[in-house]
Amino acid sequence: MMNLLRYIGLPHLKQKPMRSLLTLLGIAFGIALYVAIAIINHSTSSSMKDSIEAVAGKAKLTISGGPVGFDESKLEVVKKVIGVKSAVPLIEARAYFSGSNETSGSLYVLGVDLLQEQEVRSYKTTDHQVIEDPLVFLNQADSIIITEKLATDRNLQMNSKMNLATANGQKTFTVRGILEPSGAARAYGGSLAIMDIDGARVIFGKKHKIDRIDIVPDGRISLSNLQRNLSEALGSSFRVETPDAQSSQTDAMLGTYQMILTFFSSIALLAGLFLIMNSISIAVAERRKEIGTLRALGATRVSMVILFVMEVIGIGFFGSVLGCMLGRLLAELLSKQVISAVATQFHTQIEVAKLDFTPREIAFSIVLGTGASVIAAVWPSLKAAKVHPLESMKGFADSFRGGGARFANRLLVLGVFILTFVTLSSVYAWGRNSVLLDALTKAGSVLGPAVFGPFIILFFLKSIENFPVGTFSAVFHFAYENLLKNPKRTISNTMALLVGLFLVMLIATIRTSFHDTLMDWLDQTFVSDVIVVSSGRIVTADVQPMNENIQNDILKVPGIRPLGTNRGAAVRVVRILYQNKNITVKAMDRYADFYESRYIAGIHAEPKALVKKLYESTEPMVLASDGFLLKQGKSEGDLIDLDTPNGKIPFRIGGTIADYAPDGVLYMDRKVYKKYWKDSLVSAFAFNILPNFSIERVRSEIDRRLAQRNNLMVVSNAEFKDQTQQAIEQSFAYTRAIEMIALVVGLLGLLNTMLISVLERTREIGMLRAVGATRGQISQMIFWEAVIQGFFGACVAVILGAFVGWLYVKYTVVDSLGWVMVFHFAFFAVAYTLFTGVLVAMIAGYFPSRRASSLMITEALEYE
Amino acid sequence: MLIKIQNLHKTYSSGEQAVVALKNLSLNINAGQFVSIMGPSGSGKSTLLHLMGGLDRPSSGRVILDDQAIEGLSDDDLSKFRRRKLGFIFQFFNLLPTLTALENVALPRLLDKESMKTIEPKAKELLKMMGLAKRLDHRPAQLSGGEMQRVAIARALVSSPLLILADEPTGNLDSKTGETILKLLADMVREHGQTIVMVTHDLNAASHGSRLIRLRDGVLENDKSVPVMVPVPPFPDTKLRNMGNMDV
Repeated sequence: MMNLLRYIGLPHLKQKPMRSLLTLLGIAFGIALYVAIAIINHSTSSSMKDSIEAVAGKAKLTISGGPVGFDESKLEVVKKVIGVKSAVPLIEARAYFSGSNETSGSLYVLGVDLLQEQEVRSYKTTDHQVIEDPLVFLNQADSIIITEKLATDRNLQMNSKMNLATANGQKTFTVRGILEPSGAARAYGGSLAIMDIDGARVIFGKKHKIDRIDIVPDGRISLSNLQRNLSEALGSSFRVETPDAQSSQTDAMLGTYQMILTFFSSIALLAGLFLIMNSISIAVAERRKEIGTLRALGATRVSMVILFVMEVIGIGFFGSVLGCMLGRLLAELLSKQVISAVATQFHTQIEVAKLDFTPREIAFSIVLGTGASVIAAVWPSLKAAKVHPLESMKGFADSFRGGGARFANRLLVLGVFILTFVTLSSVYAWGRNSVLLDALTKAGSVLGPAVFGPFIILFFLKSIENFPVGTFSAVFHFAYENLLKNPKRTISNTMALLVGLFLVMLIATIRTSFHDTLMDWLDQTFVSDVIVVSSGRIVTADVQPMNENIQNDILKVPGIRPLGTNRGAAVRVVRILYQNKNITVKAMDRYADFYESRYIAGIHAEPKALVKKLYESTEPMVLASDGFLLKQGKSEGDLIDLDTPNGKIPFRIGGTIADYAPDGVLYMDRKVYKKYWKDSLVSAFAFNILPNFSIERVRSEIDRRLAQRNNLMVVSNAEFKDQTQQAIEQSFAYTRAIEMIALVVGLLGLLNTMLISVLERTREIGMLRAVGATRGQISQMIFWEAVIQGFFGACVAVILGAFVGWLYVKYTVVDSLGWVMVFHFAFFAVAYTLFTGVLVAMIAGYFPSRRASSLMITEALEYE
Repeated sequence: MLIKIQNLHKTYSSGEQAVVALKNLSLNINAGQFVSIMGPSGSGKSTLLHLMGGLDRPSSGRVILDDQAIEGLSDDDLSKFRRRKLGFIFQFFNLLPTLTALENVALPRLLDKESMKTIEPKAKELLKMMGLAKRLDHRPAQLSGGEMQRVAIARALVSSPLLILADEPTGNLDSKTGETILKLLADMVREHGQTIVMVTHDLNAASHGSRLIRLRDGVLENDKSVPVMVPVPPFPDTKLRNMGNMDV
């Protein structure tokens, strides 16, 4: 076998460096994006895990009790449980620098009891002193300790003042210590501050509450027994977990989004693999005679397969190595965007200090790239094995000659088969329980259009054959006829370009559907003229909550018109754990009658009926998003037990609504929420503006009267939608990189096949020149061929991209994410795909057309 | 008897039509013969050559080469058989453009997993014999048509085959170069007892052989034997190996 590689395989790679390079780049680009996303995902997860471990310190178990914490009396209960050495209370929350509404403008705050804190965590200040005199710290209520990183980033020193938004308005703190990056100060990339637990309770509106208790066991009983004892002592609404379990919960939360990233990156890898497949297929077609000769001289079928597979192993290996290097660079470029998108999506602070790319991951990526390349080479290599020794007896080779119609028909059958499989698999979610079927469906969604698409291109070409294309120009006519009369060549040429353009359309379709579904939903449900929030991302679970009485002050502002039945319409957004998933709960005041048909997007029932059910029910009631029902396997009318500080409470699912958050959304009457969760804080207030008052006027009045004191922001309907739009754009920003890679792969593919097609037609081109065609005409002819293929390739890519996009939006996304999206056709992407298709084809056609026109007539005629 | 062909029949199907290429053909070929096969287009001469070389399989009948019936061999065994017992000379030379002349000659034995070091002396010797001692490292693109065909002949000889099958070996050469190639083939037979079966359109080319077979419509029309000019040596390759440079 080594002889085959050394004397046949390697010389080919060496003699055609350009071709080898194009193929190598295909796999390199494909693997690069995959590697970049893997690095970012891994680094994000390990950073979250590190943060959890850093905050946990010496604690072996942590106790938590829902979104708003639990009563501080539970601390005494915990301390009495056998096996507990220390039980240390903690308030943990996100705080916002005044005026900031970005996650980067926030910090993670630990409210600690410094008298007990050293049992669990240690802190070193930058002068290398462990905080020894907590009493000094406690004596001054405005004290805060920040990390060295935060001090550097915010240009703060000892005794500097900093303003933070609190539930009761803006408050000024004094920096009383700066922590070295060790122990808990390593958490959240250093965006961390420590304050006294009582101060934190005031700031976050958690009077007499605790968010978490950290447990250091005394070792007298096993950890699992201690865990059981604690659960029994506290009841089922409390969670007693190890830090590891917390990490896996975070992993599960990030998992959904990471899955989408991985999905898109594996599509890019597939596109790279397609280039390999295309390239090897072309090499097999081009080397048919050589393979025939080798077979005639005694090479076996198996040795032919091995020859091509070994060539691909070489290209795949070096392509993967290059891909790893490019991927590391790409991770650096994309990490900020992607991590910020993840943070936005999950309303969580993620700080990645460094991007990890371990030797093990490098090895895995190389094996993956090489292995995947080999898989891509299997089919063309098997084709090589089928080359009959009699091929050696033929004259000069034309790989694309003959059998065009049969070839096209076979592709049609194969394409229809693959697309049918992809459709059925998506509709019936075959991939849900089978990794293999899932992978086959994903691969099929790229391969199907790749083999079916060229057939439609030929169909289009044939359909318009009778139009007077010849009158456009004789050269154009020649180019058109060339494409039509050589279906096999046209198919090979258009395949790679089609895949690239198809991916562009597919991504655009998914992006547009996400965007339009969310914006349409917002248009329907966001009925208020303005919302008033404190710092933080608008109306999320992590916004700085406000005291509900603030609305009394707001209602006094001239021009404000209440939305609620009684007064304002307040909403509290929190996340609760249900079946180990983070469910978003929106507890809302009832809107006035006039708006009842709008602010809830009902499914299966009129909004008015749902509103009536929700607010007038005698039993605890929720409305559930379709995504929640789908993921939890529940239906309308079912009872779900939700953990509250008062234990498990059964809630009836009264109806289905459209709302979008990972793992689903539950709507609840705020009165019911307040009753069971004992939480009267508000995430946002919604108001309307009276006629004759402009939003600007009301905003400046609220600013003048309340904003400074309460750190309030007035956001208009249009501004909110604009911000949501930006968030969606940001979430999909990385898909631009995939589009670029897909287009580069398409460009390389078309360039590759066009060059070969010119090479194989050398004699024909010589003949044309001999009978009087000018260099310019030859050049134009090849150029037109590329452009026509680019145009029709783009047309077909639009159709197939929209179709597969529809399947993804309607079925795959629903099944994997639980987001029930509405398919929206990406109209803007049609023009964009057509434009890029023709542009890429023009670039790919340039070099082959130059080459064709520069051929010497006599040499071309003698070319074998 | 080196080759026994018994009731060889070959039908090709083209769409709904069946085309009979060979009709129950039988003939024998002795070792050391230079057999020319002639006939008009479609007479079945190329089909016969392909079947003798195991490049194609008969519809019925047998080809027995060196007491081995080749129609029963598996594809892999047939490949092995070709590379060890047969040599091919093609009309279009079929040299691999990426390999040097020396590597092209060594190819059949490289396919047999032999190392270049083992094959090199023999391959060099053959190229020297073909008058290409100074062209060892040239690639096909750097050689003339005649030189390429001589490399192909050296390649056909490198495994010391029982039989060389030549398909229009001069069909792509000018008449002077073609003549030189034919003399070279005739010398192989005359001086080294090599067995050659050559398909040709050209009567002049056929006249270099020791036996002329004419086919028409898939049947044997004529089989004229010409006396062998020199006695057959017991082991042709020994003689070849001892040969010096030839002025071709």
